[in-house]
Amino acid sequence: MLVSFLLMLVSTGAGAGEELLFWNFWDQKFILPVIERFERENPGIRIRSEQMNWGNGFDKVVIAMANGRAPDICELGSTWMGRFMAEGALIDISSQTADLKQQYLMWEAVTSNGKVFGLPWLVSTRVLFYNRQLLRQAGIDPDKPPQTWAELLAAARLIHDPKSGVYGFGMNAGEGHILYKKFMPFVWGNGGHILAPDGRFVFASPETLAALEFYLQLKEYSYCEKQDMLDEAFKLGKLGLAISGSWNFARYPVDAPQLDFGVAMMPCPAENRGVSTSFLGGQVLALFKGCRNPEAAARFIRFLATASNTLPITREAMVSFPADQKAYSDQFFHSDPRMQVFVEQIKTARHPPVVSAWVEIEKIINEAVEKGMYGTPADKVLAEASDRYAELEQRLASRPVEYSRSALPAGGHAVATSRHSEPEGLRLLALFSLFAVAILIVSIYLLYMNRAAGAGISGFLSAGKASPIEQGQRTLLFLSPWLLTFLIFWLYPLVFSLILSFCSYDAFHPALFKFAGLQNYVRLLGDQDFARAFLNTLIFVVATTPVTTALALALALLVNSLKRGSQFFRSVFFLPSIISIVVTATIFKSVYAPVGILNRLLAVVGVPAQAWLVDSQLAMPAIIVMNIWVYTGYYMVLYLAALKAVPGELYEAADVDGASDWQQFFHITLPQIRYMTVFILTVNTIRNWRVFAEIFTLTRGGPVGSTDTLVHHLYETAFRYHEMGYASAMAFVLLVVILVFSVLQMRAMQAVRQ
Amino acid sequence: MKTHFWKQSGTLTLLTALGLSYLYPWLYMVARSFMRHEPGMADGGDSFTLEFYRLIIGDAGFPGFLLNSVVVLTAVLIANVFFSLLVGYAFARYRFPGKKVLFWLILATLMIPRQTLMVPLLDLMVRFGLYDSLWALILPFGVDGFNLFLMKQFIENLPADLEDAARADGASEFAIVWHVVAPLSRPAIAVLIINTAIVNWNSFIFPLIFTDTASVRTLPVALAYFAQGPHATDWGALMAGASVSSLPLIILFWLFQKQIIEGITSGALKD
Repeated sequence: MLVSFLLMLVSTGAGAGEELLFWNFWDQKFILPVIERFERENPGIRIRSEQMNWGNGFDKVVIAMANGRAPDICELGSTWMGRFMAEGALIDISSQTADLKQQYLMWEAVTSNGKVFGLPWLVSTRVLFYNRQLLRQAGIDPDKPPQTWAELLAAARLIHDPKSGVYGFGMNAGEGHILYKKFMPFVWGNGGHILAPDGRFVFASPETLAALEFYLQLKEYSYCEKQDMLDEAFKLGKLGLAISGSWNFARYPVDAPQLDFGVAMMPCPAENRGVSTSFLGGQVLALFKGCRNPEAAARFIRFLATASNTLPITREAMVSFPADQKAYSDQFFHSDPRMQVFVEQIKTARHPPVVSAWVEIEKIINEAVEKGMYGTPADKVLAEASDRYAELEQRLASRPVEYSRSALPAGGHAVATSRHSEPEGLRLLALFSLFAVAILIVSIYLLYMNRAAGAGISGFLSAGKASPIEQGQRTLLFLSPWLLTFLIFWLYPLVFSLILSFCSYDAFHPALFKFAGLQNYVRLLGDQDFARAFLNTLIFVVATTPVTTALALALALLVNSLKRGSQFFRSVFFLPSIISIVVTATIFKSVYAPVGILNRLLAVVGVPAQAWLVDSQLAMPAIIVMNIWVYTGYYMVLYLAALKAVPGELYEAADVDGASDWQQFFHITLPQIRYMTVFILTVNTIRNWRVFAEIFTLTRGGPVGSTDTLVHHLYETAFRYHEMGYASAMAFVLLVVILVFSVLQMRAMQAVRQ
Repeated sequence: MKTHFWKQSGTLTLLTALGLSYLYPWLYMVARSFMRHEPGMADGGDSFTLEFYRLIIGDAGFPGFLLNSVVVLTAVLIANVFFSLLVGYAFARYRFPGKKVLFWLILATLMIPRQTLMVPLLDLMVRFGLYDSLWALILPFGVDGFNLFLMKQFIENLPADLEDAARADGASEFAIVWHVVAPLSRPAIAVLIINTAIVNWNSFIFPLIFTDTASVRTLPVALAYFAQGPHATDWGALMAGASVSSLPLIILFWLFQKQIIEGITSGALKD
């Protein structure tokens, strides 16, 4: 104890007494004990751990990097490495990890140009899960699961019996971003590739076409739903075959103890053709360029990634296995013979290409498969993928220069200073000009007040005790909250957004603005995804607004005509509109679920169950209906107030004249509530153009982008794909559209008022 | 007379049917949150359980999210009441150059959807070091054009005698607003609070974008993440989360229905 204390005192290591910041995704109960042990064995080094979540981990790291606040040590997803390495954001740790080459898996994910920039930590793969009982019932020996494509197709066909609620194969639908992990193994197994060694896009090959055509054949005998629904179906014994990962291996025995399931290696194309391979992914540990003590950090990640320190994570969550192959001799992997399948598959699994634009390529591949699933012919889908890749290549050519090629040395203090803000040219300019404008306003104002008083113009309400300057100051003071809010949170963002829309902006290099003229707007014109989002939103607005308004009026008339109980009904119908739409969407998620109430009600009248949120034709209508349900009550209340304001004498007079109810409605009621109708239509339309929360909660843009609305598309462009310049152009177009509508409708409202 | 009776009962029946369809989701939400459903067993396998609430209140951290929502709401309400009174008063009572221009600017902010400014606003937050903090959820929303209009309109309709009298007694303008105008504006302030509270409590996209860590997350965002996380089809847990997120508002609504609805409608009825 005394010795280590003295050692600490005299320790002069770089960053002695400084803490190294470590960002990771795991429950801290796994991380903190390891850190504790490491600090004990390495006095003088302190590590502080912060937990992130997978939902926006990538964004958080990118934003931190952009602001010079990246952590010293970071856990990164293996598919992110391509981008981070290309940007030169990580420290070369080839020498610190050379001795681990044979021992660890997944080096392809961390190597670039022969240099190593991360230490593989956790790996995971996908295998074929099968329900032994369903296999047996279909006449297949459960100890001989499908090992070739033909066998897989046959098994799916034999098991598939939707009438009894049993499905053959579990196919991911409605979640574009997972598809490629299930599909690529078939491509790779057949000899296909995404990128050739020289970087060419070779996805559209005969091998891939064959794989895609086979995969689509499976669809006929498949249950097409989101991953969570597939897992549930498998758990309930309703799904025969599914491609899934080791986390289910942990969950199925707990959630469904009676489930008799097995796992097998992924099928290969045929007995003597192709290989059994699967998707390999995982997490790595890397050091960011500004790391304050690379030597200590490297020691830490080596310590953390060892089998013994990583196995606790695997044992509990089973989501991933250690990259350290020493782990596989542990009892844990031998307690259940089925685990060996995972171990074997990991050895033959393949990691997707590790390139800078992987996130964009992933999107292209996912879309291709999804389109194929929803009906586009396979060859067309592949041709489109090639086209989109060509477009992507063009765009990549205009990306700002990599940091590693600019005047920054690898690691060291020059980069440490990048932790402070760099000159932010345009941003400062915008801010400065705004302050100038503000000061200008204030000075002109005070001058005017002074002149007005000097010229003897009276007209200020306050008694002449205070001088005009004081009055001016006071007025400004009163108005200042709004003025400041307006300047900072409205005008500045507006101007900055406009400027940004003319730039190509890279979240990784926010200081490097590149003026790109009308490029973003031109791209917007030809962007099919944007056009689709526009169309979807238009459909949403046109379908929702009139229906909601009409129903609201109908309900209001009904409720208004009641002698008693109108208060009760008013509240019941109104309630959903003030509850967060996220809550309502969560409840409707259950309603629209494959085994949800809606399908069960329909079954009573003989209508087959529909995949409401996963069918590209039904998803949007489902959301539209939910929206109508929620907001009708809100407008009903407004209409009720308007109806009560209609003078009763009008109706009495009409009664005397013998007018029928319908006549009274058309000639008295409708004209009297005209103002409210226009008001409701206006508010309703504007609100519907901005629809976002329910899309985010339920479908994230939905099957093949069928529920992708403008604001959601904007959100994804800005915060998932980080194309801020392009997003700004999009935002501006959206702004103009909504503004035009608002103005038109305000005019209509004023006209009606006369 | 007879047709009148049939019309009434027909209307009542129809409304009751519709009303049930509106009540059902809430009843389902509460019921399901207490129900443990054994998969693989016939529908008789349901049992009462508190495990989902234990999850929501414990591991999932919903009390923390609730607290964040409350803190943000309180700050936004205080700011809005305070500032709307001041600015509304200035617009209602003072004459000053540029009044029309400023008025139109306020109108413009009502017509520009804030979501289209999400990118630069986030950039702003990051630059000022406010990203991932509760301040980011409070500052941009401290003043709202709608509330400004509301107060301005109301104050305009107040007789100015009391204010003039106070001024003659030498009271400062602040004091006038605070001690004379504010108490008289209680109805408008109530409307303001109700409208602002509902919008702010349910606010989603900006808390989503401006925050990241659980320590500053608000309820709607937390629920959305929860519905996409490992409990995505854990219906009991989802319904428990939904209940915790909505029951406070439902209870408040049931207690103050009249005021809330009046608040909403009076905002719409200009006349």
